[in-house]
Amino acid sequence: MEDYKYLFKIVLIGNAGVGKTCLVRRFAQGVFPNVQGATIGVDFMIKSLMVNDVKVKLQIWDTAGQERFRSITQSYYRSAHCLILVYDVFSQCSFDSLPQWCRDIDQYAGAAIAGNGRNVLKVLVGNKCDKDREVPLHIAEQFAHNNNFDLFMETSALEAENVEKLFREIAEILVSRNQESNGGTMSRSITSNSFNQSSKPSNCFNCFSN
Amino acid sequence: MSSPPETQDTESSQNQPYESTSHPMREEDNDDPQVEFCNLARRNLQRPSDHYNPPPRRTHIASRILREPWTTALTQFSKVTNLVLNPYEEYEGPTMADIRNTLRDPLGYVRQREEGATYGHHQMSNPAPMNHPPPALPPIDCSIPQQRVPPLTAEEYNQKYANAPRRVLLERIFQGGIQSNKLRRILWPTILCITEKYSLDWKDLNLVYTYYSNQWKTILPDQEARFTAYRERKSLIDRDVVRCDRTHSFYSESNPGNVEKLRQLLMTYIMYDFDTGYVQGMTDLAAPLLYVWDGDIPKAFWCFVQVMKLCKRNFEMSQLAIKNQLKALIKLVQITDPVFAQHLCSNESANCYFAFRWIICLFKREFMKRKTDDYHDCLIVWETIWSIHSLASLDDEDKQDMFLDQSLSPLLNQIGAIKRQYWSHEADNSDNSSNGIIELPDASTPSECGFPIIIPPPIDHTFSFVPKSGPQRICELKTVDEDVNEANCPENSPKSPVKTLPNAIPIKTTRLKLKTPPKPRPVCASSPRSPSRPSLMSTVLSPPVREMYSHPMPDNEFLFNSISSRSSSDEVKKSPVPVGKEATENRPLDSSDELKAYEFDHLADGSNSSVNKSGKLETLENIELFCLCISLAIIRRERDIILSRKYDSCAILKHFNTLHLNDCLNNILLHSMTIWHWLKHDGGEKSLYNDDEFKPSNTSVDDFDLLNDDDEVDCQNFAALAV
Repeated sequence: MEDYKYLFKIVLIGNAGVGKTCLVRRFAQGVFPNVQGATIGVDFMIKSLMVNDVKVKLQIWDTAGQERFRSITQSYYRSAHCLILVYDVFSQCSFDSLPQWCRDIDQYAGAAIAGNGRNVLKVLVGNKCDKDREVPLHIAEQFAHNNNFDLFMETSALEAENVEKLFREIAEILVSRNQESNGGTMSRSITSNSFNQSSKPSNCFNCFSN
Repeated sequence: MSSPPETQDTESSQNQPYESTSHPMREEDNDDPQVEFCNLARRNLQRPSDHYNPPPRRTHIASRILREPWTTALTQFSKVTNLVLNPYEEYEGPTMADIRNTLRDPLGYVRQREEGATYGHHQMSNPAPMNHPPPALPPIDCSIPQQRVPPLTAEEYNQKYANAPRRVLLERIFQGGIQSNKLRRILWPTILCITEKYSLDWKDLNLVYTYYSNQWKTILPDQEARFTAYRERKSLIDRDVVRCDRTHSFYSESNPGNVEKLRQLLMTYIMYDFDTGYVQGMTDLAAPLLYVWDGDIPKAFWCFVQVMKLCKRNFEMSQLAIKNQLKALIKLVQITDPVFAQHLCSNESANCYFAFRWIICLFKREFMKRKTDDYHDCLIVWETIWSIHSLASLDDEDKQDMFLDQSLSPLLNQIGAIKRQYWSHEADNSDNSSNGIIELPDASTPSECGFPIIIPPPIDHTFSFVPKSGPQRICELKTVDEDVNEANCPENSPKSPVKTLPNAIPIKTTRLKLKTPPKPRPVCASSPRSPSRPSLMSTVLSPPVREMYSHPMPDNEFLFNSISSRSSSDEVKKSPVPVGKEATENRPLDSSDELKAYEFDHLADGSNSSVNKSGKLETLENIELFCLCISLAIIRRERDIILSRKYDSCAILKHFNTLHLNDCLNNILLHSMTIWHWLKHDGGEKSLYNDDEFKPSNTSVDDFDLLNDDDEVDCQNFAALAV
């Protein structure tokens, strides 16, 4: 059933153990997984939303956080419409790693989404805000501002705080961007096209092609 | 599995809509109707470009005949054969597909799957019509049929294998695994090369374990604050152990002590091999080991050390080894199943990233029984992997040395030397022999075990550090000067594995004076490896030096040198000798700048595909090769579903990510063994390393080797390959 108008690819990145998988599952399934093993490699979930009477499908990619796996995960977020950089408000260490992540974003996802002439939507999220914080809100806000994040939010996957709101706002921004750049007439196929183009099929080896 | 084995036929089970495919244990996955895992797949069902048929030819047949008469002629002939024997359109229907699959599957692979497997999917509710049955799975041309046998029981072991040669035992375990944890505790040291004997005196190994574990237990909080590399490793472990296998009864909420034990094991490992440090996935490897040893940390630790030696390359910073394996995997698929390889290629899955977790965790998550969270199946897979590694090492004379080095014998020889040396000192200082000396857990009295060692008591970091005003103990292991460095040590924490003798008073440092400071061995993960290191390592373990270790050494210096270089030496021994440009690439890039540069270059030319057209396939270790056999077996099992439903890249990833294979353990392993035999004895390995460029028209001799004259599948296979 192709009943959606837009398909957006959202990729969550950030240090290991900041709650990326829990955020995705809280949003996509409405549950908080108590026993969620570390993500090895990548996974994704899909959830549909209605934004201004338009059906939007969000394809949310969840990546392994450890630096060692970045060469694998980077290949996934290079074609993203939106990157959510997650840190743990309870862990100063995860906040201190953000500059490195920002460099990664600039390096691998800096290219504009095909056709739109816009950079990837950058979102900063401080997760686990139900816990005692180590990272003050205003410091994080300042950081988000200085590093040109489009959106900053503190969430709690445990208590479902701001999770729905986070993804809804992202969807709204992406929809409005697409409608602007296409005079509001953009069809799904174009969106799908741009999605497909961004991950080049030429990466495959060229067997059977001659 | 919660659902009973399916009784429906192949066609209907393949007709399950993708949206309903998730594991039964994850009911929540499907409770929310808004959650649709992969509706993208539907979109592609109507897309003709994803069809698995070969693309149309571009050149005229006459010109191809002139260029490649043999290939072209066979291709044309096989097309005719296909038309006669495989007219999907005319003979559409489950019955025909069943017959065809049965005929084409010399292993009975598909048939067995139909009988017992459930795919880990929900029962279908709305089967979509399947336009075409998938093309037949080409058989693996294995000359000797392989077999699986039931897991080895204690009775059978006592009757037949207790005194059998090592090879016989390994072959038995390779074919069936081990039945019980009790027997595992007896046999694992042999399989994992901890010892070549069947029985093992753990005393010395416990001693070394305590030695390592005290290194992290004695890092003071203020020291930790200045020790970023250590802190990072510790933080990762702390985050991972509390979420590893908590559904398993051994690590459940009611057993928090076991989680702490797992943490201690991994913390000790980072001191054992600080360069590798902790990488996500290690918890998955360590948890079942600790379970089998029923919480005996030192024994589980040494098993873990041996397991890590086998697969440490997967955890290296550069990730080159794992990319090489993924590259080899798509090549294997291409050789054995060109139709499916084409499907993967045209759906951006040629990088085989879906197999990343399989290899990192040695298929643990795929073979965990989710309902009971039983490690049994996963352990049988591991035992098969480990024993094929040991068997292959036995077969390969060149690797005999490597096998010896993989055992812990050299380490134990060092211990023997230390003991003797200590003992001679003891004789000189017998009056102080008990002062400030901590008895090790399994050690008897010093006079019997001969190896008292002075170890600072561990620090319980959960308590704040309060300097003690009483008699001070000398923390010898932290001594970095010739003079005495005294440190205040708090009381032993209750969970300390070592006991402190009462009345600890200062002891003479002359007994244990260290000429070379035991530098915080683990200096920093980012320290580049010195080029001179390999040569040092090769000498450390060369036979003459090994002999030397059995004699008392003049001072303690060698202990630290040899122990600290031990882990690196394994790496050097295990790694294939790098040549030319590869030499620099093979070296783990530790500096983050270097890594970035590497990644950027790598991504720039190889993009997100691990199949680098110009990159040569590195020679694979045996264990890597066997892991690829299992991966290929899994892929071959799932390929019909993927082809018939025309999954795209996302759907393929989701499908493999949600796979649970515990119901087809034996089928997968049997198929893996067949692939292994084909690789090793029927020319498969040769074709794997041949022809790095994937040129479709380049039909090599090896491709012909795959063909059975009387099997129509092979003709079709060949046709696809040659088009």
